[in-house]
Amino acid sequence: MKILVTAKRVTDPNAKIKLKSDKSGIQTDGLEYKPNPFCENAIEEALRLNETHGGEVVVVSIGPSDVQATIRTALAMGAHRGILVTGLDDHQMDSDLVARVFAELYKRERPDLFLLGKQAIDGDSNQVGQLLAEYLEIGQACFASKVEIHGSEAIVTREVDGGLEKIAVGMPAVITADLRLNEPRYASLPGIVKARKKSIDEIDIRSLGIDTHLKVETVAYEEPKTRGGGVTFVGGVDELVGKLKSEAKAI
Amino acid sequence: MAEYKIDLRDMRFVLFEQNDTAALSAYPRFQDWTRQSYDIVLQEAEKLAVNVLAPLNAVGDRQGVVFDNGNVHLPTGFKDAYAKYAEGGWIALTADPEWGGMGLPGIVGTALMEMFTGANTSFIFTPGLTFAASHVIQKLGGEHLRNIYVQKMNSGQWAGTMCLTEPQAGSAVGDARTTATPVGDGTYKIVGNKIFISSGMHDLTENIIHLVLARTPNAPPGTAGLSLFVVPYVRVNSDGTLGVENDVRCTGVEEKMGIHASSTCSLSFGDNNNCLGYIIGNEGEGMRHMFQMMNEARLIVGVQGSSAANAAFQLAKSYAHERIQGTAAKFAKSPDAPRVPIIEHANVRQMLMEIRVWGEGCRAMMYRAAFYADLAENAPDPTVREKYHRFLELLTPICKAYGSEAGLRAADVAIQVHGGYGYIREYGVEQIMRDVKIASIYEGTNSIQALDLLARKVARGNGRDFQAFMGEISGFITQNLAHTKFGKEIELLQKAQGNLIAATIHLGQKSFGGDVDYTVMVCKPYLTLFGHVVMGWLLLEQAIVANQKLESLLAENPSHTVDSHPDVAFYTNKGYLARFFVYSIMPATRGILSMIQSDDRSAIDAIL
Ligand SMILES: Cc1cc2nc3c(=O)[nH]c(=O)nc-3n(C[C@H](O)[C@H](O)[C@H](O)COP(=O)(O)OP(=O)(O)OC[C@H]3O[C@@H](n4cnc5c(N)ncnc54)[C@H](O)[C@@H]3O)c2cc1C
Repeated sequence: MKILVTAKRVTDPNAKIKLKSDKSGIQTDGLEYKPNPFCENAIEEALRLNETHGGEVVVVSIGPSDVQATIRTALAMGAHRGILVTGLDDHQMDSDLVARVFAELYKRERPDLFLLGKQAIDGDSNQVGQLLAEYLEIGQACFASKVEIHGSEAIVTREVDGGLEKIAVGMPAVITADLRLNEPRYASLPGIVKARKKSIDEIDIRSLGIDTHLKVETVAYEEPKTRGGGVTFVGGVDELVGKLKSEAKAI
Repeated sequence: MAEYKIDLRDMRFVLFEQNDTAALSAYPRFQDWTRQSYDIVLQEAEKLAVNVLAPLNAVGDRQGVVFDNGNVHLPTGFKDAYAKYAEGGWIALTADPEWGGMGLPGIVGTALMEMFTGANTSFIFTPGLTFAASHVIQKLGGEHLRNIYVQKMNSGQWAGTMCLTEPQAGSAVGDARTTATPVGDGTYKIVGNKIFISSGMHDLTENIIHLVLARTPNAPPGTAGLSLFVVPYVRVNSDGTLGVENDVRCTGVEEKMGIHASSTCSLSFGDNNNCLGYIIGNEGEGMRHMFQMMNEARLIVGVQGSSAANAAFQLAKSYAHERIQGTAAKFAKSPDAPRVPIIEHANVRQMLMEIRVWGEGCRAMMYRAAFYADLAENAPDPTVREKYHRFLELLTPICKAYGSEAGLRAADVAIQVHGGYGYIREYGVEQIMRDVKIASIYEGTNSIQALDLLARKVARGNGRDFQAFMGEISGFITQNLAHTKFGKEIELLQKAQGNLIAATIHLGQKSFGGDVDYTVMVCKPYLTLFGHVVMGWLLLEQAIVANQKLESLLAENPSHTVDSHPDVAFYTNKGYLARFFVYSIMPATRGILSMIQSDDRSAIDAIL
């Protein structure tokens, strides 16, 4: 079984994000990046499926050459090779463009499964997997918390509002990983040494022959409002209920 | 609950900007490593430290180890964590890949040990001692022992220990009485009692391989009569499978001030005269071989100090930003003035800078010593190897003693920053202080380190190595005396170095004059004086490197500010940190020199 799996890097969740002075985006100079946790779940699942079903795990990502490090981490966890589409900065893409790039990689690689994180924890868009399946006109199972392979079908347990839903999708299919899917392994030191010799193909986006215009136009970025001071209620329950109604309009 | 944070930025600065770790890949031994793979190693180690080891730190402290009729149980979670740690290949970081090691440079290994030790000091004993022991067997143990033990220890299947101490033989290792009697087939029967043996018994592995110092029949007294033996808890058959138990018994564990999750064991060897030992090298070489292990272990103990200081800094810094108390000093008289986080009080900032300088300064010191070790082993030119070998030997006792004391002091000040909350367990900072205290005591007390520094390392060859090392620092001083930003501070470093040289000369004269007691009396302050000079040197080196980096960053984009690029703040702070050390701590060198030159013998003459 051949699996394509994504390894996106995201801004370090512990870093303080600041906006550019013209509010056109966030400041990226000197920013630290970490692998997107949902992609780590997807990679872990790809490796586990590979352990039982054999085949190949190919890690894909988009961004500047530095993103090699994120792919290399996945190779250190055990994936076989990587593809990095270059020519775009991390913050010059929208979900639709990412999906179009992945669709093209799919056509070149013809995997049985395309695994992605359900969303990236920086943009939080939660769209790429869905768009990708649509472009490829293949089945999709998003928010997976369990994946089993039966013959030519993937049986996927999905995390939906209010519970779990179990569906079967014919392969090839797109599956996006939720946090409870698994606990990602750590790369071992021998794995890191081996990863150095694994190949990462860099492909310039212009050579993919796809439409690269963005569908989302960014008008401006704003800092979230800082939280206002709290209020202490001394007047008891009635006052609290009154204020919740009249001021906070919470009830 | 206290959160464990690691300053990866500073680690990378010391690894790749202050020392050229990436250039080590030019040596055949490190050719498989690249800057990118180091970054991945650091990233994965951080995950392991923060997500696996740190969460067990407070649990281990509360639960402690349990002695149960010869067995010892470690706290909940330690066994799983050990399995993960071993599986990831984190035990034998710097050992040869051929022997199941990872072949990392020592300087990178040191950074990793700092992360793990800061996350959970108790945890690190077993893997640390296992690697130290396997390393001795690999280097000195001969083919047979090597083939049986090394791989299984490096993979974490078996653990290791070092057994020197006996009730009457602490600092005086040569007073050990444990005996080793030849059986006739090349093996020995071991009989005796060892105490205070770290990881002497635990439930992490199926076997524990003790390295035991013991005395052979008719051996001369003192250390010259000691030999080193491999003594497994369970005997190993020649095909590597486990055989019968080897008559080694754990008779108890100590209740301690700190490192509660590390078992400190009393071991009884040969109660039934059925404990077999296998000699490493020849009879009488024990102390020399044990030193191979101890020199590396001493650096690791220094790292224990620097990791404690860095962990303490992270806690104190977060707390100081959060805790609201009091008003700005200029509003002290107006009751309505806004309340501020304590980080705004200048005295709290002073404390934070002190903690930080111990943490980052000692980090620089430990990594530099490890870098010297890498050069001493791998540089192609034998004279270069020799030079760094000597520098390393000189630095080792300083790293151990100065580093452990810096860690303790930093933890103390970090508690102070927390006020009453620092004294409360939940905040995690008092544990750092209890856990780090031992670093001043074991692996040779800090006084023993100071004596080693003065009597062996400095005195050797009429001060030859000392002079060469001073030359290294002088070279840096001469090169930077005219530095536009730090010239004045470099001049002060030169004065501090002058104080060290004057103290060294004075003590040399005292010893020549026959007053050995006087030298022994002031050996520890002398080591501190030496350490201050090394710190001043390395911190100013950092400031100058950081200043260059800052200038090129601003040359690229002059509009960068502290707010627009995190490195602007990072590099700027390096200058502040060096200055802080030069003006707030380094002046102590003058005081220590006065003390040493006073010739006051009150401590010797007093009626105590
Ligand atoms: C938690 C813990 C773990 C340990 N782990 C191990 C281990 O794994 N393996 C092992 O073998 N040992 C271990 N030890 C033992 C440790 O190394 C010794 O405690 C240490 O070497 C000091 O010996 P001592 O306790 O007998 O003190 P002493 O030697 O009695 O020292 C008491 C004081 O006298 C000073 N002193 C002693 N002799 C001299 C001298 N000649 N000149 C100047 N000053 C002197 C010392 O500096 C110290 O201040 C451990 C100890 C502890 C507490």
